[in-house]
Amino acid sequence: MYGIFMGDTFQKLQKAAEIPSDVAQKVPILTMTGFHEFIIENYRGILEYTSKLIRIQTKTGQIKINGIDLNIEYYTNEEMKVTGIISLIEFQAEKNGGIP
Amino acid sequence: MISNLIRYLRGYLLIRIHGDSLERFINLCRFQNIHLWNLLSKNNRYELCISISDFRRIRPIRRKTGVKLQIIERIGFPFFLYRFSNRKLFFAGFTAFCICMYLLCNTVWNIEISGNQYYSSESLTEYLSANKTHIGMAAKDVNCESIVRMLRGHYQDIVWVSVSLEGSQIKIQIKENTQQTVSPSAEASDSSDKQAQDLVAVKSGKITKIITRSGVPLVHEGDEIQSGDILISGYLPIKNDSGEITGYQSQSADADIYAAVTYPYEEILNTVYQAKTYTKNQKYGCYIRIKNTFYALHSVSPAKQQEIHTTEIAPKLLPSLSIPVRFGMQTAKSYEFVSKKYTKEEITRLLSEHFHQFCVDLEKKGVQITENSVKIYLGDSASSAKGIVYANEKTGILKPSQRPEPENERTITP
Repeated sequence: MYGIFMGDTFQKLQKAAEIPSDVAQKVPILTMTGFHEFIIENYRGILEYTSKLIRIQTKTGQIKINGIDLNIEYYTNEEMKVTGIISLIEFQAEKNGGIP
Repeated sequence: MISNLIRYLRGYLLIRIHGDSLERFINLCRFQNIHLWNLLSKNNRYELCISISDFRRIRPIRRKTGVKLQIIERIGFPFFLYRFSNRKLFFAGFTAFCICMYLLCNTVWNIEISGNQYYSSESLTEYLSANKTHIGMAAKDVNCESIVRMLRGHYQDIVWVSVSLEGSQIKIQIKENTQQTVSPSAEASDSSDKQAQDLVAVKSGKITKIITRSGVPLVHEGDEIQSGDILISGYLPIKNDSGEITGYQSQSADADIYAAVTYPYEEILNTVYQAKTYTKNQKYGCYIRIKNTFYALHSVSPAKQQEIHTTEIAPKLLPSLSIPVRFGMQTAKSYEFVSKKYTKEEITRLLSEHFHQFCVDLEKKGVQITENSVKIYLGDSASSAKGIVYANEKTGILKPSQRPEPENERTITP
């Protein structure tokens, strides 16, 4: 995707140009309002969904949301909104930490 | 809120999916830009909402993932219409009602005129109708300002007009100049020409009071005047040092002149008269009037010696939404003339009442009654009230002045 701009070179260029990470690297943005509302942007897909657990695949790794009565209010290409009683959010970074 | 409304109008389905690859199903939906919402996991089954158009696109994804699908509920306006498709007449009626209401609300159905005393509502409505402001016109075409200008321009006696459009009726409030008097000074100020004008006596009498503002008074308090006499001359003589008249200054005479005048009064009443007596024969009728067209439900045939009394009711849909339909009731009363004779008390009372009314009418004209010598003479065949009313009233009207005989003068116009 980044062609010749791989690894450190790309990061340096991004920092120099002051491009936000979510735009340049498509890293996920998590927004939480209280314990009942959770919005995630820049995700790849759902790996698992039950009323107690949602596993979401992102570019940098997986995000696990534990809770009770978890409900996906909407689910679009850009973002996903989860409502319910959220008790735990877990991050599982990939080997390289998600950094390209 | 708005998105929910749009979803409802477009219609959507609440579906339940179950199978082995439910996550894959919803991920594929996402990649195909199929919008899902209210996703709920229940016992390894998902319940979710999907729009009708997107539902038609999920068949390949369903086959690919082997997911089984069940429609739980159909929600939205298209399904509502489908459910009531057998009641087409109901919808047609509802639509017709909406159209009628819209048309009724955008049309003027009543013109309400208030505050008028001298000009009747009918004559004002007729004038407005001749100037394209009538019942049945579109409410958007009503220009209140132009109606105000039109009325003020045409009726000089109307001093204030307020026009407002309230619902389907035009409300016109007017104020007339009820205290209008023919004032010589006002007439003088209005006259644009500088021609000299005299104040001339209208009635014979005796001057009781005179206040001159402009012009030369030719009469004084206590003078006897005859009808047509010049009271104030409009030509003001200009004299030189030796007292000779060198010219005349023309002006409009202006003065308050009061004179003691007399009004002869005489009224004769025959003792025998024809009295109108209503018989018991009454007929009733009713009709419906739409604008100026009458539809008789039960007509009353016109006959001689019959009075027809009509009562109309104007129904209103809403306080400010009246319709051009009137329900009318007619009562035809037959009558006949019967010869009757006044008693002495009756004839005295009638003559007194008539004389009292005569005095009231005079006072309304600004005449101050000082005394009267009216007496009632009772006779066998006829009775009468005769006498003279003595009054004090303002006199004098403006008339073009006759130029005095020249001596050695020149006219100066101010």
